[in-house]
Amino acid sequence: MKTSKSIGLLIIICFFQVYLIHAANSQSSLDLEASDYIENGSRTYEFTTGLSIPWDATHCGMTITYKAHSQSGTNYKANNVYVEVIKNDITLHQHSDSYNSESSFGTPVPGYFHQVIFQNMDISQGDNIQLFIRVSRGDYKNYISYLKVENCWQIPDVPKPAYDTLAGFQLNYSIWNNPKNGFVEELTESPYTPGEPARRVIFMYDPAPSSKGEHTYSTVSEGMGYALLISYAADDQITFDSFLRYILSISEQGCAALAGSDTESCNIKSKLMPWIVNKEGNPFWYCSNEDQCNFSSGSASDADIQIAYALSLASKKWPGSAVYGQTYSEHLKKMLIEMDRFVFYQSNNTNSWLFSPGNCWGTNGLWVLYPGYLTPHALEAFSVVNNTDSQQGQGQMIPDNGQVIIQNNSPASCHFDYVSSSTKNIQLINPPISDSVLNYYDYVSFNYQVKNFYWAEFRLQCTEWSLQDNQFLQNILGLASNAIPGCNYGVHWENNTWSVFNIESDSQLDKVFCETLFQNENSQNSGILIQLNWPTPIKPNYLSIIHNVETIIQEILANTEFKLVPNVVQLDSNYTVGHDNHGFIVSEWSNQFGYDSVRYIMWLCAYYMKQNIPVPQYLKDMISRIPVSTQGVPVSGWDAKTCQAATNDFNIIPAFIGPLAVASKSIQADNYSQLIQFLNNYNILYNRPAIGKESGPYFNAILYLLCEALLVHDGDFDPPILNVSTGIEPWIIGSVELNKSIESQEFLLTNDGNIDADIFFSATDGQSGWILKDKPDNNAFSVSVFETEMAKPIFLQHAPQFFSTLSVGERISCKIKYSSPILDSIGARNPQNYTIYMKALPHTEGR
Amino acid sequence: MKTSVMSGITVLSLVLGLFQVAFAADEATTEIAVSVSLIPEIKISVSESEWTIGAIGLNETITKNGIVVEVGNIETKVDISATNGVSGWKLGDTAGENQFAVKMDGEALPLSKIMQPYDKPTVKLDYQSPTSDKIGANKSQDFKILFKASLYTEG
Repeated sequence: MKTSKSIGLLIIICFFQVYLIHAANSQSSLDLEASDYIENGSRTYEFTTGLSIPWDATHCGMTITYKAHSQSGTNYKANNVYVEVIKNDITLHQHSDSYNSESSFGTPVPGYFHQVIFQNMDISQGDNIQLFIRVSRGDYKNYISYLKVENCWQIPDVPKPAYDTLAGFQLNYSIWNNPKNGFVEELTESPYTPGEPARRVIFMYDPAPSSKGEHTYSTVSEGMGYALLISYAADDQITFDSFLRYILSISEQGCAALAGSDTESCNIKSKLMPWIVNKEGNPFWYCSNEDQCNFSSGSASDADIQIAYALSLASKKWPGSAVYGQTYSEHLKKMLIEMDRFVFYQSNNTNSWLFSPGNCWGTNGLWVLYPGYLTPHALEAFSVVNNTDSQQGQGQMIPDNGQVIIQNNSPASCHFDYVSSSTKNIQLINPPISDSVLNYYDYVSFNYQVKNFYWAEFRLQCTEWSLQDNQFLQNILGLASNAIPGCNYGVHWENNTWSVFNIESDSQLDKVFCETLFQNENSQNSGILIQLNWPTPIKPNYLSIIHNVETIIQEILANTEFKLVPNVVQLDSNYTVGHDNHGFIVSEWSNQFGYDSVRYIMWLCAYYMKQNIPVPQYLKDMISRIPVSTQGVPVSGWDAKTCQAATNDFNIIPAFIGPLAVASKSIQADNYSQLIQFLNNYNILYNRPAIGKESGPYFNAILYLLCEALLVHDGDFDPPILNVSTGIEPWIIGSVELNKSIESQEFLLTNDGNIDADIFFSATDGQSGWILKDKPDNNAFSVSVFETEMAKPIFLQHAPQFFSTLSVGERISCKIKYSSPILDSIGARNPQNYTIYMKALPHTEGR
Repeated sequence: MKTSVMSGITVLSLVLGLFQVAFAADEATTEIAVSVSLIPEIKISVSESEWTIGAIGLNETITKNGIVVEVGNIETKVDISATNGVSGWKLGDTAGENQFAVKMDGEALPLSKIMQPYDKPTVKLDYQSPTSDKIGANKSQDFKILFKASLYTEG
């Protein structure tokens, strides 16, 4: 029997299938194991608050904990537990939870333990509350063995700034970033980061589905990418660095670093962060369903792209800072080199640049598009990064193929004994077969494909049979008349560089032969010339990816049944449903407009908002087709073809509403205030991660913050910075005659900020009595500012006068003209110094 | 001069032990200090260029009113002096034997005045002939009154 730790006394009274729970303390619990089981049915429990406990909360939290079981003959998924809190026949809150049963053949299984936290309910002292619980969908004997209600606790009524304000963002960020609230974990003793704290975002509480043990408190790279962007937006470099340390450390556990069978499911050996790692920071066998488990060391490109974008932002904002001895810029370049190899590629039919979602998805990561991964901000930032260098093979899209040329420069024919690789790290395509002959000064070429980009090696051996008959060479080489020298070469790839080495041989004969030829003064005339040709480095056309993906989406919306962006697009001719041309199974989820693809409109609309570019019509049309009701959004999104809710459960889900709010703001839609109201009503403090197999609190909170950052910063993560420099030192006119005009040196007015700026000028009166006027007069001077290339000046007044609008990065050449008074009655000894003020304001249309 | 200003509000909240700071950038301002002054002009002008007294008896005083003295645009030290008579009369503080005196507004020459920029006072000159003479009449005793302007330096 399960014993509750609660102090509370429970009185259970059967009353028309309504069980009364008499709350006797701050916790009440109900243990059903000894009494009744709910087996594939429902039951309502009733309890009254406040009979013996204080209950004056207006914001009420309630924890309901249960353990569900299924004695199934086979594994069966999607058993369901539904819990509803009811007051006066009104549903205050509801929760639906699915769990997988294990095959037990009648033996009781440990059970699925879950805890639901209901927040912000209108429950007062003396209220009669009904708790409805239903177990369903299981195939055999699903039952609840344990149920506990920890009833209401007071949640302070915190004045909360509006969602779409900087103050709101800062508040939510501080809640989210506090490890006590369970969204993030501070790692002070991480084995990967000795001496320096690291921080990670917690993805799930309950075990991630794994074929090899339970993996709790896992972290997904997607969350880490968001975490970097959010902490950057909050101007919190300390936290940013902590997240980055974790990412860099964990990336060492990526595909490239792992050996053995665990890496076999990792198609490409990258050094990008694995898409999910367990609490210890290690990838594991993740099972998306019972029959399909993949080792999780492969990266997910949305995270890769966003992590790199965050590095790009940080490199500009904190240029001198270093993490693990390297600047953000250096980390960015290294990461882009990896991504150029493993993420960005050219489609084989159109040569259009696209991105892979990561090699765990699609066909080795190719020919499938996850539209929600499109992050235009990042692609724009990458386009100006110099991420190619002189190292062979870096910065190119497909570096895994090349050509080997073997030329026989010895004055004898060469017989290949073997050209082969003993490892899977490299594949030689049609190398010379054994005993094939390479004549004097002849050559042979073949291609290779590298499977491991960090270490590969192949070997070849050739034997100079013809020396047997060449007395002259035998004499030079000091060979016996019947000697048949052979030479072994190793061709080794490591650290982005190929090297050819002469394998030491125990045979003095071979050694003499190989070294003699190999050490020829001119390598071109070496015995065997091995030349490796690497494709010319190609830098991906990052910017074109934005257009290419948008084009694909527009084609889908125009030419297929899809009305909304699906989560997954098959890059075959018909965007096939079912199986694509590559045999990839298109799931129901793929065709939904869900949490994945809603980010497509979020990122794109934010990008257009940031650029101050009108959102394209196709996107506007699509946004208008998204049905949002007062209930919120369906928990699984909408069918992307029918725009019907994918499930019957609706809720206010910030991970959906947030992106929609970003889109709404970008097109100035009417529903913006309604969406913001939804988001205002959501409180991540009340929706902290709870025990249970839920990624919801993690994902809701992080998208909530991400969208808030985008809204507050008009589509990006930088606070608007007005930074206009005049480039002029104090202007010393000195002594001036009356009725004279003097021009300043040219100076540059430069917008160094990140927003367009309206520029205003004003000036003061003279220090000793001369006054500022539109034109010179008695004891009156004038000041004008004009663009050097423009004739018309503005005459300064005490009030700021609009001068010009400077777009970001724009600079204009200006001069100031000073005209002294016509007459003076104040005297020369008195300084008539004055001050010119240049004021910049955020640009406003119609100024 | 490069100025980057992030002005705005700072909001501090202590919520559940959490600390938050918010900034908002709404205006950037920079100043250009301009140093300028009028070129100093030291000058003096006197409205009269000649004063014809003619023949005068001993121990007499002749007054000339309405003489306007004007200085330039800066504080000016004006030294006013007179020469001796061309035939032997000497300038003195007071009239005496063969000694005449010239007074401006009651003060005997030579004297110094500090005049403010653009001062333009009207002064009165008194000529006091000697009380006795050993040189004789019909000899010209012309003299010159000099107005000298210089930059006044305090102290």
